[in-house]
Amino acid sequence: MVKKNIKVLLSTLGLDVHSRGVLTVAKYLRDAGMEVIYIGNSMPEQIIKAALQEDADIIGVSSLGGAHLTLGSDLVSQAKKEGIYDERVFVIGGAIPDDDAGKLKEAGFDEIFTSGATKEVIVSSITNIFERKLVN
Amino acid sequence: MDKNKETTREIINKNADKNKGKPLFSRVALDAIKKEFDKWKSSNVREYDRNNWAVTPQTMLGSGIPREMIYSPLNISDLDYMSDLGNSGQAPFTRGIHPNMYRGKKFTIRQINGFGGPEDTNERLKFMIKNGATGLSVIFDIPTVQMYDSDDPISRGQVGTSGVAIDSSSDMDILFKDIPLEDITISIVTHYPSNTAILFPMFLAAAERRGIPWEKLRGSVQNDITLEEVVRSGPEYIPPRDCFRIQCDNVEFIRKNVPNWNFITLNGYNLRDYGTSSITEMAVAIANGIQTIETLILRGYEVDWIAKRLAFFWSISNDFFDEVARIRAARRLWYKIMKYKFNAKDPRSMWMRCHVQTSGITLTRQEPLNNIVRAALQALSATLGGAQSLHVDSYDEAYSVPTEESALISLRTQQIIQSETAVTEVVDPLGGSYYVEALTNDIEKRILDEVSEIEKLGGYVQAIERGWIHRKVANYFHSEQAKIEAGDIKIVGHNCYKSSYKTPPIDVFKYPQGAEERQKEKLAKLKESRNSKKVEKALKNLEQACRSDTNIVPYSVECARHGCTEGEIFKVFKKAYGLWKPPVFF
Amino acid sequence: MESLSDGVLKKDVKAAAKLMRYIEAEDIKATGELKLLYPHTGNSHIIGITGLPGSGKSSLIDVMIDYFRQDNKTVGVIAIDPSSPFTGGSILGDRIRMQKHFSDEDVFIKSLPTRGWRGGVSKVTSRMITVMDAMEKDIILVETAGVGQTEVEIKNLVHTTVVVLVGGFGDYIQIIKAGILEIADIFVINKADKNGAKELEADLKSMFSIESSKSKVNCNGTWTPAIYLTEATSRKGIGKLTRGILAHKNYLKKTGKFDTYFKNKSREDLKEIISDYIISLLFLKLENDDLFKKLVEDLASSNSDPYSAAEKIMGEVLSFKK
Repeated sequence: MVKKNIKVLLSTLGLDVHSRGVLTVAKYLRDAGMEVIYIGNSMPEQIIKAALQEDADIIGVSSLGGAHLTLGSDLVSQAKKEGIYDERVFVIGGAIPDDDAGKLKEAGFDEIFTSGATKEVIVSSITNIFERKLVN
Repeated sequence: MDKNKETTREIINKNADKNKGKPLFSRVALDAIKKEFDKWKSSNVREYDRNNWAVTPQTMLGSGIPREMIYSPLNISDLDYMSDLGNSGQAPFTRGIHPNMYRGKKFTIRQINGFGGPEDTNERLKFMIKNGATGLSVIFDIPTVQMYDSDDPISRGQVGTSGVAIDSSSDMDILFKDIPLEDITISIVTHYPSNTAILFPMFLAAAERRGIPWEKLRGSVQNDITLEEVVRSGPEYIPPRDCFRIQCDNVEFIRKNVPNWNFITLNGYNLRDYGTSSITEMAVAIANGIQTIETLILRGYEVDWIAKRLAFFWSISNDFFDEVARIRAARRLWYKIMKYKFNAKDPRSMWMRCHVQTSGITLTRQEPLNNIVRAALQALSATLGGAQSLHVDSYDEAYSVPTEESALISLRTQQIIQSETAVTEVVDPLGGSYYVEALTNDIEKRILDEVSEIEKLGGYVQAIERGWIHRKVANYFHSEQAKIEAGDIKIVGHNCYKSSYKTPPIDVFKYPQGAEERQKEKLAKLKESRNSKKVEKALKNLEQACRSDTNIVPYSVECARHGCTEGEIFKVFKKAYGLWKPPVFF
Repeated sequence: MESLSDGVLKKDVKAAAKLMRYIEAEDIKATGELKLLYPHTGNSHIIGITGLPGSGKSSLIDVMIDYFRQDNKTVGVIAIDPSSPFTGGSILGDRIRMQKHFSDEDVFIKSLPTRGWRGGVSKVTSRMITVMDAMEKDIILVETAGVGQTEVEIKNLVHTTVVVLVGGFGDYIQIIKAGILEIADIFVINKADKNGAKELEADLKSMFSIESSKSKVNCNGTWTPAIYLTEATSRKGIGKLTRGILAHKNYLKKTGKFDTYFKNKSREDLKEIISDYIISLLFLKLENDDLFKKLVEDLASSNSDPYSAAEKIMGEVLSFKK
């Protein structure tokens, strides 16, 4: 009887001062039955280390301070270098302009959530990508 | 705080009926009105409306106060014009802190600026002055706000985003180059007591180098513990009581040495926008103000000496009349607190002067141009409430910091209100409205109730330490989020009146490149050219001051003079005070 | 391809984390790996940290890790948090209080949800400890879920039980003197600068006949717990605490109790694994049994009672004779 739950690592990217969004998403995901590890403000290296130790399936970062392109792409490229990119889902949320969202997708993020994304959208997107990418 | 001491509410209630005795409405008139009202209610009003007489509007960051279908003199039956309202500029200041309000002084139009390196923001500041801004407001980038240097590994990729990067006092020279510091008021948006104690001394040292005496400087800093310890997410915090001590040190130092500078902007805005009600926002700021004054009185100062420059910073959300009424309520309540609790003598001590900003979180990403309308209505309600200065958020709030174009529209919003609507020609135009007066009374009472709750916990700092504020705010925003999802709180274009119309992409601000590199170069040069012995000594003296009872700010100024960096000074605080971990509530 | 157990023995974080995931999921893939790891365990000093909510356990652990690292000890942390009984999900927020150790190669932090297991720990805690033990962590800290009074199960899982309290709860301490207070090898009064700390110390001393705050090995070889006053924020008292923990380890080693713990743990693990096997086999058999199905129907239509039904099953289906 395998009882595997989806594990999500949530972090605020870099020194961003905002936390309401990521805390709200943590709650959504818990209510959807996922196990959420919230690590607060972290740099990409720390996020990767934590993701490894916790064997997180999904890594979600929040960025409202404008550092999404620099630190966000950094996170994905480090994940690829460590060889942990393929078995995990990477999502980012926050104050992200549309063209930057495109760039982040190209860099390797599986999904971008901008302000106004609802609970349904977030939970179902994450669940779908998880099933698509990892269950195969 | 002594738990057996009289609470503020008890003191105010004791003095409640002073000067009352001339009710506006005569008993005869009220009785007649009541008779007619009851008749009307039972015969003209639909049964459904009778059964749903009071309705609680569901709005973002709202007060949760039920509203009746219509208001009449019956709702304010014991209103005494002189003691409950007074004329403008007259106790209890409900109608305004100056007799002529906007006829005498239009509200200061102050738009926030800051991005990239100091040289980049300097250009924008000059642009704003050229286009009619009467005050400047500067905001700092995230590493600077969180007190890390641009060359610290933790600042990587974030230098110059969301504000301007400042690492040392020489950056302040560049930031304000060719800006006439003596002729313009500057709001230096240092949120926290800790970064105020670092950045403001850097500004003072820069002014000193330009030969400008500190008495000539006019402006404000935020300097609020709420921002550092309650609403901030960050990797490191110092304990609340040390943060509060720094807040009071800043107040004391600035009051003494920079007499025309506003040393604290009690918050307000950031707490509310994080997610709390209009009532809690004010109760927290007022409780903070009370504790600050009490502390400075214990240090030996007179209440009038301190209170003359105290200012508040409110967020303005969508419930139009709630916003008007609460600014009036806060004015009256603050007067009562200053008069009855603190026995202030100078009328200027009793003014609830405030800067307001339209709420950022009420602005949507979908159909961003709608935000221009939202912000304009919010600005209008703030004007009708009698705020002293105003920042209007730009319509691209959900995307990035404002472009020149969107910042200009915000500026124009205020200019149109001031120049085209004639709203500012009459003082307190909504005064006397049965609805607004009733709501003002209700809000005042609720704010005072929450202030009492905080006092019962031992005061504001205790409330923070115990996580009471954190929990209250977390509960509020989680339940508000649920209401938004359920559609109880309506947001046009988001959860109602949704359209498949694809908004044409808007131009979003592009951060200038290279700020991080430039700052790193500057820091390397600074560290080479400065006198490292003097730097070490200044930091050591600062650490000693932190560990003793003396005011730490003069030591920070000395650090600024010798080229200490922000990260170096913050390290001293962490070393002297230790690290605190705030509670997190889900 | 290298097996997960090989990776664990080589101290590879990725392998250890993957194995821990299988353990959490109670996936039989874990069994084979665990078989190979057991022989390599028994050396780590396992310390349980439990206490009242709000006592600052995580902040305390954060500073304790500093001290252990200064002594060049490698550290594993298992931080347990409650799962929602309704959704099965959880928010594991202990790690965030140990942020500065995220970059330290020799500190491995694992957040573990209780998944409905009561007692403050998770059903699989013992096996998680096994993995970290096999990685040769000198110290393994197990932080319980922090729901308070009923968290006594930790005692069976660890060598040294540290109970963390804060002052200002005078009456409450009187009420809960049974339960978590009884399992302590070491008491910590955190936030010692706050009101009530001294009173609490006095209360504990009188409750447990402790004369001085220092630990004592009694004439009959038993251990009297020590009481440490700490302020995690300013790092006061933590050095003493970690030395006190080491003193307890030395006591356990000297008296042979260190290895007895291991024997007890092994016995409990064995019992648990056997009962898991039996129960899963049992219910596999029952679910397909016709008599069982009929008895369930009878119960549902109130034609029987569960006791009679059980006796029937035990006798007829399982051939169990009293």
